[in-house]
Parts: sequence; structure tokens; C-alpha cells
Amino acid sequence: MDTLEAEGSVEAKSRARNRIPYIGLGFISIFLFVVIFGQWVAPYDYDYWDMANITQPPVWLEGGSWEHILGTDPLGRDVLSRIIHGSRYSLAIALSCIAVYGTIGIILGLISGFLGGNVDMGIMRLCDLWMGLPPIITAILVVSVMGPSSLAIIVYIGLSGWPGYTRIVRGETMSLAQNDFIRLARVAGCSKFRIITSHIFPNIVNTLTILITLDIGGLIILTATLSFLGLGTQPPSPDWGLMMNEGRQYITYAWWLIVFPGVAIMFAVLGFNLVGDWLRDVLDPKQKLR
Amino acid sequence: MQTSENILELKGVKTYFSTTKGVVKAVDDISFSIGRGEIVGLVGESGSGKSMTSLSIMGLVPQPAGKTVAGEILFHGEDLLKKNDEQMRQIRGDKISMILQDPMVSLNQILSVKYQIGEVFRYHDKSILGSLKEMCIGVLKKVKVPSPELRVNDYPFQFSGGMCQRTIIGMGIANGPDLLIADEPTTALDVTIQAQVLQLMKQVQEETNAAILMITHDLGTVAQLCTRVLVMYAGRIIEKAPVNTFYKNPSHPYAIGLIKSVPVLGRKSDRLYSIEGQPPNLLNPPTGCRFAARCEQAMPICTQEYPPEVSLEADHQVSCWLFAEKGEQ
Amino acid sequence: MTKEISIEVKGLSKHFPVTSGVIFSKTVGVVKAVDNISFSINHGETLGIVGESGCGKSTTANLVLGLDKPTSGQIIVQGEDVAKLKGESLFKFRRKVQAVFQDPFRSLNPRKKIRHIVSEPLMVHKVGSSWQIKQKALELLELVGINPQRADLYPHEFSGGQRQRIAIARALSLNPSIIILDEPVSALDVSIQAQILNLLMDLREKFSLTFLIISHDLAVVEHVSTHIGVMYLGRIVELSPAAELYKNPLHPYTRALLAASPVADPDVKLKAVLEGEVPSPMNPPTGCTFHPRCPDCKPECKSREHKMHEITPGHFVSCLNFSS
Repeated sequence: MDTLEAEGSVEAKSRARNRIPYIGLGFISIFLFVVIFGQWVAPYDYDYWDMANITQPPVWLEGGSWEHILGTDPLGRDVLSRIIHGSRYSLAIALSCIAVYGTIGIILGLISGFLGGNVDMGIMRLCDLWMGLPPIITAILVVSVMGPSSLAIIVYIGLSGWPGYTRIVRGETMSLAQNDFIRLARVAGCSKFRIITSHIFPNIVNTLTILITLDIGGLIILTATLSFLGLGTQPPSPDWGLMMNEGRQYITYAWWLIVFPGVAIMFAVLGFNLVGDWLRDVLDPKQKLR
Repeated sequence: MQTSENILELKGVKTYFSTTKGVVKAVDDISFSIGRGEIVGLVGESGSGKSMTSLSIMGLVPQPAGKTVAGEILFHGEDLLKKNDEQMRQIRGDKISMILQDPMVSLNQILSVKYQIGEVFRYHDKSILGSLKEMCIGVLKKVKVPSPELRVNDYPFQFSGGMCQRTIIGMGIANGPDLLIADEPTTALDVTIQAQVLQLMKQVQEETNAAILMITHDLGTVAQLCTRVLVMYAGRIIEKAPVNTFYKNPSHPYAIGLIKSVPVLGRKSDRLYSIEGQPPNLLNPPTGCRFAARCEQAMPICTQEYPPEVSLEADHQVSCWLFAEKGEQ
Repeated sequence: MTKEISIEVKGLSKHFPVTSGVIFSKTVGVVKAVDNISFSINHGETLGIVGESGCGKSTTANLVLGLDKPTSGQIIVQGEDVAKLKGESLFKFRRKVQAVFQDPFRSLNPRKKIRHIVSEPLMVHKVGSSWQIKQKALELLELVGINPQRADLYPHEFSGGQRQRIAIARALSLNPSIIILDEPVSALDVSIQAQILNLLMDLREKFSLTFLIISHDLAVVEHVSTHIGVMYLGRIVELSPAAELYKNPLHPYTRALLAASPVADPDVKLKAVLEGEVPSPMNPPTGCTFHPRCPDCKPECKSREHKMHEITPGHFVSCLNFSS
């Protein structure tokens, strides 16, 4: 079809899909706000023990007070403050994980997709092997070697998450390498390193942005799960998963200890997923290349 | 016009696209008609709106951004723009059918050829289900696919590009349409195969007496196949002429330039004639003649007002100020 | 014009293995994409290679550019065998031979400003200071008819013809002596095609360039070339000066191509001389590969392969009918 006409229809289509996800952006804004300004916003420190008010329910229930809006735990710690402080743990751990496995995955993917041949074969088989490792058992293995901690989570996820990135980056690289501008870069005498860094990588940044945004949500859940299982962050840190774990034994009479961190996880994840979906529509690299 | 009976008549058709940057006037006020048995070539460069014209006729303008906002498309005297989806579906593939450019993507690669040809019949006549296979073989025979009895069970990927396009032509004419719209039917094919397909189209046209609207950028295929030529530029038709008149005596400066800029075998010159500049952006088309900015003979009035369509002969119309006064006298 | 040879190709072949099987893949045959072709181009001349899709013309371009290694044969570009170049010498060879490809939408990196696209070869080869490189890029853009004020825009802001101009500017940046043009105008509209062909011919004159132009369009090739080679299924079947080929085509395939090229003149009637389709290059016919479609096929054609014969000076043909 004629280019101009095609452009018109593509734009229109994407416009219909691309309503800005205000709700998602709102959740992320709140999340980032408390991450950055948490220590000034939070009414209390995360390990401040208000021994006079232990296991106080939220403000709207009988026995609640405005001093502890979302109630307190059996040690008298303010739930709202701990959730606010905990946001920083969630994001920091998620980003560290991505930094580790993203770097490994992207580099291997670029090499695998561009060089092809036996190198590609080797890297892909390694991916298959890696993905075959049973996740929970490996997690326990890492933790039993390193001891349960945030660092252990980062090491475990960082070392296990890369094959997904490698596969996607490899695929993108291979389809980009078909383009004539890569052939022309070789004709110009560009080194392989230059072709990868200056021609291929900039063209997969969009894909990576989408991947990472969608991944943050998943990672918040994964780290929370590991902490919930006692494999990650250790008390008294206010990690959301850990808070749920601690609240578990009081669920019959202090439900707020487990529900509010859960809600926090849900909204943070929802926010990143909504924005990630939107980014995928806006930044669709297939449209840009044409 | 030439023939007493017009199969298709477009009157002042406008198809616009709304985009984030504004309204693209892809097809802007075009009128033409096609008589029974005519092969009309609609020539234009990419972005001139020729494909959008064909989609407008078929009622397949991409929704919701695009819309035919004005005009009438009369098919046997009935306005297609007033038909609903169900009525259009009945007409498409039956009375009007279409052949697209790329034969490899026009057929579904994972369904057999028999199934896909059969679909054409199934939609429009449910009574023939029993003899479906014979009818499919008949279609392949008609378009000269070798050993049709065997090939009918094949899948499109087992066919070459030329055979796929033959099959598509066969499907296009299977229901005896009155109008066949062919959008760049030979562009994706090799030269020797293109010649075969063009010959086939001509032959099929003679047998079925269907009118063909042939959309192309290739002046060579138009000269070979068509009886009449419509030239589109930036969303408007600028010249309509019989094929001999068009090539021997084109009138619009754009049409003249276009013909001169084609390299001709055996007539080597040092330089090709070339029309300088680029076609205008259809987001904000210039007022006045859209070719004025590239035209060597542009006059002050050309940039101010769109020229009226002037008849030089009974079947030769041109929209250009150079002829406007002549026509009025 | 000197008669110095710019590119000489001798017995060039490129065979691609065909593998089959999902787990234990093995080679089941070869596609002879290019099969024992020879030609030479003098300095300042233009050889056009015509052929239909799959005839091996783009593979030939890749081989001459040193992007692919030939299976056998030699490509001698200004005295050096391209196939033997490695590392530093290959890098130096790049300065002499540049290319322009078919699709202007795929041949420019969408993420780079056109100024950087044009100047990249200069940067890679470290030609001059960064200020000089910048100036040179602007000069090149001006040379090909792109307003240098638009140098900071990205490729998607240009039309197809303009992009092809940018690609040409990039190809010229290292002052190469040879440019390989792989279908340079087939993605462009007629009026734009004429502009680009004129530009190429002007540049050829100005910088005394040698072109190897590859196209499926005989009219385009004939217009810009001094010599034409016709390829069919990996072989050159006819090679002759451009004017001679049109006036006196010898090989039946060349004649068929000429007859089948649609002419923009309703008086010249198109003739579809050839029946059938191009056979699969994996399993080419024996003898003369053209024999199943040839209107003048003789019994010997099916079994005997034949070599190129010079019929008149500079006019070679590979056909039994002309090998006395």
C-alpha cells in the first residue's frame, strides 16, 4: 500500500489504542513519590515501637486512631510507615535484579544474534539449560549458600533471569541484522563491535524499555514471594513480602497486617503493567522501522 | 462516455484520514466512470491515493481513521456508499472482485489452494458444494496453472509467485464479476512472468467481458493492457484519456513529464527527463493546482485556484489552467 | 577514458549448502547461486547485470563487496583479490568500493541523524578531524541535493527518493572509485527514479566512478550502463556492450527478456515468449539451464554445457546456436 496512506492508518490505529494510562501512571507516581520522599512522608520510622498501641486496628475500625491510620503490628510498629519505607526495598531489589540479568541477557543476546553460527548455538543451549533449572530449588540452594538476605535474592534472580532477555534480544538482533543498513555498515568498514553498539543496540532500546517496565511488576511480586517464604529480606526490614509473612500468624484477628502490604504490591504491579502495555503500543519497534 | 452502459461511476468522491497530525486528504474529489468491458488504468505514484480509491470502491477503507466523506460511487446505478456491511459483502467477491499486489501474502499459506478457491464459491452460492473440487480445477485450468488436477490439493507455498498470482486472478473471476479491481497485479513478479500474467489478464477480460480497473505505477503495463488511462496526482485525477492519446499526445505537464521520465529500451539518451521536487504533503495540500510547485509552466493562477476539468476531446479531459481558457472558448 | 581494468571476476562461484532435518541436519545439496561467472569492468565504465529474482545477481554484488566469501574463483579489484583480503587490508579495501542498496527505508539506520549516517564511514576510517568530517558531511548532502540545514533530522522525515540520495552521499563519503548499485531505483516512483538515475550519471562523470549496477529492469540498466550482462540461474548467458545488446540480442533468454519488458507505448505489443517458470536453483536442468523454456532448444542442449563464445568483439554469448 502507499506509504503515506499506510502511515495514516497506522497512526490512527495506534491512536485508538494509545489512550494514556492515567491510572497506571498515577499508581507509579505515588509509588515513586514514596520511594523518594518516604522518610519525610512516613509518620514514623519503620522500626519505631509504640508499645502503648500494639495491634491497633486501622482508623475506621473501633479502637483505631489517627495516630496509626492503617493500624500497628504486635510490636506497635505503624503499618503505613512500614509500607512507605518498604516501597524503597521493593524497587531497589527489583532494579538491582534487572541490572544484573538485563546486562548479562542483553550482551549475550546481541552476541548470539549478531555472530550466529556456533556461538549462537552455544549460547542458546546454555539458555535452554538454564531455563531447565527448577526455580525454587535453585533459590533455596543460593540462600543456603549465602544465607537469606536481599543480596541473596538479587544474586539468585540476577543469575537466573537472563535467558528470557537473551532470547528476545537475539531475535530482535537477527531481524535487525537483515536490514540493509547493517550490510552498508559492513561495507563502510565498521567493526563488529561498532555495528552492535551503534547500529543494533539503539534500535532495540524501545523493546528493552517495554520489557523492563513489564518486568518490574513481576519482580516486585517475585521478591515479595521470596521474602514471604523467608528466603529474602530479613526482619526488621519493612519488605512487603516479609510484612505479609509476619502478619500471617495474626491473620485471624489482625487482618490489616497482611492485607495492606498485599494491596500495596497489587497497585504497584498494576501500575507498571498498565504503563508497560501502553509503552508497548506506543514504542512498537515494528512500526518505527518502517 | 464511450460505452452506453457505465458499470461504475464515481462522482466527487473524497476519502479522508484523520491522524494525530491532522486530516490527510488521500482521495480528494475524484470522478470517473468505467464502461462494460473496458480496461482502465489508474496511474499514479506512491501516496497519490490510487490504492485508497480502490479501497473506497470496495468499501474497505481502513476504519476508523479513514472514511469516504463525500461523493457517490454508483455501481450499476446504485450508490455503494449507502449499502450496509452485509450488502457490500454480497457484492464483494461476486460482482466486484479484487486482485492485490503481493501474491505471496494474498493467499493464506496454511490452507490448501482448493479450500481457498472453494471459499469464493461457498460464500456466494451454497448449492454447488458437491462439485466444488471440479469447479476449483476449472478455475485453475482457466488461468493455465499446469496440471490443475494435481495442483489443486497443494498449498500456496508450493506454488511459485506467478502461479499464486494466476490462482488469485482465477479466484477473482470465478464468480463472473462485472468489475475486477487489480491493484499492482504484476509489480511483484519477474519480467517474463509479468508478461505471461498480463497476457492472461487480457485473455480473461476478453472471455468474461468484465471491466478491469488496473491500478499501477508502471506506465509500461498500462500501455500494454489498458484502453483508457486516468492519471492521479496528490489525491486528484489530473488527466483522463484513451491510451493512444495519452501516450502520443499527453496534455497535463505532469503526465508529459511522467512519460518522458521512463527510460525506454533502445532509445538511450544522456539524461532522462526528470520532474524535480517531491509530491506535496496531503496533510496540507497547496491551494490551487497540486502540481504547480513542480510545474515548469506554472502561472500565477495555478497556485491560487484549482483548475477546472476541461474536455479537449469527447473522452479526453485534463485539469490544468493551460487548457482552461481553450476549453471555455 | 583509460582502459585500465577496475574489477575483474574470473570463474566466480558461490554455492550455498542446503540442509535438511531438524535435529541431525545434514547437507542434502547445494544451491549454485553463482556458477562460474567471469566479467571485467574497465575504469569509468558501468556494467549492468540483469536477471530475474533468484538468478544470483545480488549474491554477485555481495561477493564483489567482500561481504561473502566465494566458493571458488577470483574477484580482482584494482589488483587485489577480494576473497583473500582480511583484517587491515580488507578495511583499506572498503575505502575503494562502496554500495547503494535497493530499499531506502531499510538502508538507513532509523535511530541516527542523517549527518551521522553520511559521516559514519569517515569516522570509522578516521579521515580528518571531527570538524572536517562534519563539514564534509554537509558538503556531501549538498552534492546529492539535500538541503544541509536538514542534516540534523532522522531518516523517517525524508521521502524515498531523498533517502536514496542520502544513501548515495554516504557511499561517496570515502571517495571510492567503485560503487556497487544493487537495484538502486526499483523501490522508487517513476519521476523520482529519473532524478536518481540522472544524479548517479552526473556523479559518475564528476568523480570518474566505476559502477556495477544490478537490476531486474532492463530499461534502467540499459540507460546507465556501458556493458550489460544477462544472468539466468547463476550464470551469465550473454555479455555485450549496452547498445549492441538491444540491437542484436543473441541468447534466446535475452530476446525473451527484451520482448517481455513492457514498453510505455501502446503500439509496441508485448510478447510473452517464454512459457513456464524459472526452475529451482537447487535442482537446475542439465546442460544449458535454459533449455526447458528455450524456444530454439536442440537435443544437444539438454546434455552439453557450453562456454561463452565471443561472437563480435566484446559480445559474448553462451548458447549452442552460436558456437560454431
